[in-house]
Amino acid sequence: MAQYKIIYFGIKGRAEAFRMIFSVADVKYEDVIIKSGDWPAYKQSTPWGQLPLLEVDRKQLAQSSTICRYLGRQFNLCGENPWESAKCDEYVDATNDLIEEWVGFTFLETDEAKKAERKAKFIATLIPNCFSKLESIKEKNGGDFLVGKKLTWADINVADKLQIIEDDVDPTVLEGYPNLKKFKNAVLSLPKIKAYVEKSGYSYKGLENNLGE
Amino acid sequence: MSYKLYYFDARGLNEPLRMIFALGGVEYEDVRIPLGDIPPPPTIPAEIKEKCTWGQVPMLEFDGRKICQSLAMQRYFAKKFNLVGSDDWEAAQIDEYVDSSKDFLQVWVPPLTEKDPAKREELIKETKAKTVDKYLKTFDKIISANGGKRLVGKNLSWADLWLAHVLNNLELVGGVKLAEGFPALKALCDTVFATPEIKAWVEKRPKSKF
Repeated sequence: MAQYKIIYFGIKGRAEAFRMIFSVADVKYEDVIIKSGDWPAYKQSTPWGQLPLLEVDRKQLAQSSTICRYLGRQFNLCGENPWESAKCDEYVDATNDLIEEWVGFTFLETDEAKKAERKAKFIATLIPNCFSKLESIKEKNGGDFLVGKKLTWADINVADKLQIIEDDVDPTVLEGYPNLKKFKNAVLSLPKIKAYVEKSGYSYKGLENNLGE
Repeated sequence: MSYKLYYFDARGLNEPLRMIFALGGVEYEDVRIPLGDIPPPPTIPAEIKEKCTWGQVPMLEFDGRKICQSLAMQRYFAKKFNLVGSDDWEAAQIDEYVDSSKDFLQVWVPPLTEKDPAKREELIKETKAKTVDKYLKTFDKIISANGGKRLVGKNLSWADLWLAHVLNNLELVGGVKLAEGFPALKALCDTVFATPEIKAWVEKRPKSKF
């Protein structure tokens, strides 16, 4: 069995989807936590000056979507055929822009007025644009998942993003999207994921002090 | 099987797909939407926009199906044409280097779309300084450690196409030549552009500003 390590800050952030994938697959991993005080020095040793990293038998992989996809593939959570795998990629990429904008105004924007403006636009325009499309994709696919008939890494990745937005931006955000609400709850209530979330103790708060870029 | 590709009249984020299509011998209808005078962002005609799942391009229609998101599209065809390394780990490393190449391309968008000449020159200088360490030295090291011509493994991958495209595009759009002084980067680009199908595509592809 490969030895897995997640190298990241002590937060949910971009590594939470990995941890949920490991829990569904029943695979052990080590959480190597980099404290924010140690980050400036540690940063120099990372390939792109960023975290998270996945270490597999001492080899390292960077870029969170790449890591998620790799783990999805290792644990048979990547669709039943090349087309379904491509759809997983498409839905994850389509929701990445939304999360990157959230990261931008939440943690990187220093101008208070601009921050408020970006957040307002996020709620009024960006969320509806993305969620309305995702809602109809979910509805069309039927069942509990976004792609095909089985759980994929895209379900975990996207459900996690929906949870972030609900927790940090607007607790009522999914009220207008009943299929997405049902989907998120279905994925996060899967027994192994639920068990992991309940005992993890990680929070979505506290990122402000830790984001390196 | 007929393929219809919708994108702007530009190389941009979608050019690696056209390079992959060239390598795979795929014939397709290449629908090119005018880019206009960016910034401000270009307009996608309504009849196309409503066909696009996310209201964005690129989008590819074939066999009654639709796929969007540039990297998802490219990865699907890269797999078909054996451009994804020889195992899952190599495929993942290729994904990582594509992600980083895309970040590298996007960091250069503000300087190269800046209209004020003085500001543009300043931004180009700043971006050069920022990207030499983060991307050029890192990629050069990776290529050198892998035998000097390719990013991953023994054969051409879609990560090689991406990096070569970014460096080539910076030159075409802004006259910025970053591979100079990095022999491994230059060898990678030369190898990619000497590949017969890529060479033929580059010679016949429509000229566009971006």
